[in-house]
Amino acid sequence: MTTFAIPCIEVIHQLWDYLDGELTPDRAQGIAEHLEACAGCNAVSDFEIAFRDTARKLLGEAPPVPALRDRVVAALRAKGFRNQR
Amino acid sequence: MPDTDTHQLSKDALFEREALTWLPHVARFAQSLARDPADADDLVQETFLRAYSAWDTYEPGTGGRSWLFTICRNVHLRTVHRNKRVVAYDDPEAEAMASAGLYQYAVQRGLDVMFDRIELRDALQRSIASLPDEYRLTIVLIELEDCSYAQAAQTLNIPMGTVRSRLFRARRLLQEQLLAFAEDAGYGRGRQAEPSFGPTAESVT
Repeated sequence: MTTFAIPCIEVIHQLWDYLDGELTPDRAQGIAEHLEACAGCNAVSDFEIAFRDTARKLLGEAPPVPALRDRVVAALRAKGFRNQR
Repeated sequence: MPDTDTHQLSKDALFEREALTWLPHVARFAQSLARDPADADDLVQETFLRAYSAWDTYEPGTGGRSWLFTICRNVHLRTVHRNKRVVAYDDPEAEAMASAGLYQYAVQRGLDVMFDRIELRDALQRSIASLPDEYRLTIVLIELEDCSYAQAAQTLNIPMGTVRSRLFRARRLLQEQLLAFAEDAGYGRGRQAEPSFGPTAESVT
């Protein structure tokens, strides 16, 4: 059995922190090296990345809400707001 | 033009640029808070009215979006007087095991590549809507609004560790629901037994 500097359980535990860019550079480097060498953890990582990318692709852009914007601007104008558009 | 008018115009132009520009994002966040569309619209309006009133306290360039999210959440809490607290699942090791177990389950059912092959938009929207409030808000801020853990913690007024555990749990709940959706739609190798998403002995080595 291959022995890694960071055990698999720790990599899985911190995988999302790693993918979200929330780890220190040293720790991120350690996780990256583990993923490169460990096919099992790398497959889990690929699965999580695919999930994240799908979620962001499908739902990432907040849809425009022109009617609500008009309503909000009208309410703001009643409070003294003077917008340029 | 009098100075006061010039100041007002400049203030309003800044408000338009740094606050109103985030209205679609605030609207989406408000929907995840209020659920009811009419309540969400009211919440957005109230958020911007309060932001405008407090605009002199805003420091330009410091993150209008996070500032608006915080106001939005505070307005919502005050409006509905909700005291309900859900204790977040906070056992990182068990969550890690369960996450790996979920992946194993997907592989066994031939669903590990489903994200690339199945139209999941509606299922994803329904799944997010069905999440408990705490999890839904966290995942909306991190995944859809691209907030950092620190920004989400500030907006939701919870510790970073709680953001982390809620996010972990929310993602797993979503994945479970999407796997179930994919299976029900006939993808993969079919449901062979009652799914078990919990940790398994062979999940993690």
